[in-house]
Amino acid sequence: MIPTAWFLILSGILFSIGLTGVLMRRNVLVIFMCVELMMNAVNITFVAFARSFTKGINFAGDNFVVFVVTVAAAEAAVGLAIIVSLATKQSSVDADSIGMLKD
Amino acid sequence: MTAKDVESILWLVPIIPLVASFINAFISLAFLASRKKSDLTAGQLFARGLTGVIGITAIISSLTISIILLVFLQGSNEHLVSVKEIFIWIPSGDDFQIKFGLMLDPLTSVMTVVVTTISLMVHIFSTGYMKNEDGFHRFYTYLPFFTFSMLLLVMCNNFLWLYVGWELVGLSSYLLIGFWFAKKYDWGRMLPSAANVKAFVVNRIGDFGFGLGVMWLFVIMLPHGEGIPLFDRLNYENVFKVFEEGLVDGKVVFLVSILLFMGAMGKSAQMPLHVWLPDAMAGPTPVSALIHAATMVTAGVYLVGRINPIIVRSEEAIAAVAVIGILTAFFGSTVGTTQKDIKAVMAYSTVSQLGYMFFALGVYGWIAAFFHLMTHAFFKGLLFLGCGAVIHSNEDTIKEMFEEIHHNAEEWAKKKYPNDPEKAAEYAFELFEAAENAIEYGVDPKSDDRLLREGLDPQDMDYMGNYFKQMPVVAISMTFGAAALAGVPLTAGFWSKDEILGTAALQGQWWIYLIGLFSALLTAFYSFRMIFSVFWSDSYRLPKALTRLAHAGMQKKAKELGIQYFNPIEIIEFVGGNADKNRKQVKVHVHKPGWNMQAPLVFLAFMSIAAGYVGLPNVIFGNGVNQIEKFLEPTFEPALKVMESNDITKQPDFTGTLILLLVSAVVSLTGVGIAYVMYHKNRETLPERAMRLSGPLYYISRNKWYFDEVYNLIFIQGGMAFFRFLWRGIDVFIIDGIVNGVGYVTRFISQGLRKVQTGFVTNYALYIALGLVVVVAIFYLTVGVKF
Repeated sequence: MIPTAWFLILSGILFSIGLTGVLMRRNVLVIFMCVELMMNAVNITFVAFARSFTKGINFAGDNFVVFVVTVAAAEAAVGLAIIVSLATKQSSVDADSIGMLKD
Repeated sequence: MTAKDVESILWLVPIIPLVASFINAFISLAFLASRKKSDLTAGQLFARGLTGVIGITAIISSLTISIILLVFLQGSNEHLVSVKEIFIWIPSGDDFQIKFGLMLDPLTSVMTVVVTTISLMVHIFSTGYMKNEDGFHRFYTYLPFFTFSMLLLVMCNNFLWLYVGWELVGLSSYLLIGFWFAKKYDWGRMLPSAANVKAFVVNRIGDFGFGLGVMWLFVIMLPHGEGIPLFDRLNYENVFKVFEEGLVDGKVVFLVSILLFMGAMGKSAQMPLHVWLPDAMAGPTPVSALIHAATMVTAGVYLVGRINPIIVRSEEAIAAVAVIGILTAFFGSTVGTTQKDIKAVMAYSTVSQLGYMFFALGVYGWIAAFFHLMTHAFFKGLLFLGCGAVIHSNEDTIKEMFEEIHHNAEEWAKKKYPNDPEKAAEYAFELFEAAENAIEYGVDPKSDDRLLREGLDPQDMDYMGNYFKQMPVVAISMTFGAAALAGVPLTAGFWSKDEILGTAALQGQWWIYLIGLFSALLTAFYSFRMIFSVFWSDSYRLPKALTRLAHAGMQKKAKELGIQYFNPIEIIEFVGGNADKNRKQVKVHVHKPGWNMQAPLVFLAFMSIAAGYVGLPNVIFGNGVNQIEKFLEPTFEPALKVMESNDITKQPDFTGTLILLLVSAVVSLTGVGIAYVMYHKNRETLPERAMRLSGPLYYISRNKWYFDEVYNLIFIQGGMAFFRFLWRGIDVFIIDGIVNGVGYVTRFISQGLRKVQTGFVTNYALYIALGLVVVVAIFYLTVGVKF
């Protein structure tokens, strides 16, 4: 059996890579992909814990993954809509040029 | 006539003047409003005169009833007639029940007669004095109202109603002093619109103590009379009974007496609250005669007399009354000697004489004080009314002289510029106006000559003289009045003043006696200074003064207009004696007052002599001669009893009293003599020499011991500085500072926090990430997670 800890380490690394990408990349589409990456990392964590029980598999974990994927999809849809409208407005997808929330 | 009959007419005495006042108010508002006298129709003029008649009738009725009551009291054995309850004014719970009732005891009776008599004299006099006034009807609304207030004050049987009457006389005083509220110039004196406020405010300061005293009396009375329904805790009888039974602690008696006396200090112009009385002379002279000589200011004396059962039980309080009284007496007499304004002399004289009344009370001379109150009302009322006649005639004379100047100026201008009528008219008018302004306002504010600097004040004694020839009746009446004031032997003032000084000597208060005697000397001096200056000196000064001023004014104007070779004598010259028909000399006639102004003076002059004979000293003329003592004794019985038990009563002896009488006579005649030498014989020289010799004393006296200046410094400037501190330091700096500060701090913080909102989404993502790290760290450090 692969020890649970290794899954968690994998998940952590993936999450960190995703987080770094969100904070550092300039293209909003890439930022979105990194967000998806973070969510995948979380999925791995859930499944890892679900299978870590000695007395069998706790299906709650697997169950939750389904929900996360659903939410990720919905969020991607909405987010991409916003990006499209933004891109239409500025004709670029540069995160640094979105300053409209500044007062 | 029985007590029952008396009870049924008692209420008429105060009510009739009140009704008259309301009727006059109705007439004034309905028919006369604020029209000038010249705009009135015949019907309105009739209504105007009617107000005067209504006022006089009402006071005559009140006077008649008062005299009937006096006669009744004298003849009967009962000493107190009271209508205990006419209506219940304040029924409030079990404790605070105040009823309205009237009473009649010897003191009240004397006071009502004095008040109504002087009021009647003033009402009659004012028909002449206020004849040409636009506010005649208003005057005759306020005057009976004042009479009502004063009668209410002396006839009520309850401390709270006493306070009501107190306030009402204060209000009437305000209305009457400020009668000429539109006056804008009064030769440097305080204007009526300010003087009435000053009177009211200074009165209020005394009323503060008085109110506290009444409240304390109520508190003292609270535990008594429990269980009795509708027990009036502020009724005189009930209060005095509690004090007489000795149920009140000595210190409390002292404090209550002092607080009540504070009211008397304010109302009766005792030091240090005397400052309003001289400025109250801004009101019409009949007002001064009634209110500030005879009645309102004596309310304080009445108060102390009325609370004699309370105050006699506190030696310190009585001593305080005596000290303040004698200080005031001394102060008033010193200031009166140097005043130039005839009404100011009388005002300070009143302050001084009120001081006499109070220090009489302070040496246990109850009856002496009220005897002096009565005689003072007569002679001071007379003196004020006489002053009014003089001032009135001066003003009329000056007005007539203006017309003469105008007429003569036009004639002169027509002769000088026969070809140019327009220029003539213009020059004539300019010269006339210049003369008028000169007389009223003075010519040159920097001049050394007081006349040219200040103008001709109709009340200034320096420009009066030898009026006896012009108005003999006024002169002789005033002389009698002044003699009574000075205490010339055999006048009423002599007997009453001597009784006061005699009581002081009897009680062994030698300092008070000596200061009182010295004040009597000064009193005699200044009263005859006034009489000699105005009526008897050899110089008739008014024409020369008018001439000088008119000429100076016209010269100045002529220079401005560029008239060559201008000699003002060509226009006018005023003379007192024979006028030259060939020159432009105009004889100055001082206006003689009409009979309705002279009759009260004659009556009061008679009373200034006759009123003294009800108070002749028993010890000299035989027992029972002193009518007023016999009459007033029952009121002061509680005090006399306490004095007996404390062994304070002293019996006068024949030789002592005789010596004191002689000393008083000598002193007053000395004062008269000095005034005679200085003002009748050597009026041009001696007064100035005396002024130079007395140096700083003259200036201290002339400036009224600088009381007004000191009060201005402490209370007004000091108050303003304090208020400015309260405004700037506290209200603006602290309170507004806090409120504004909250806003400022909020803005400051928000400006700092705003920098977080960069608008860059990636920054926000960073904040989320950092937050996550922080949360995990905290979680790890506090709870502890084992990996």
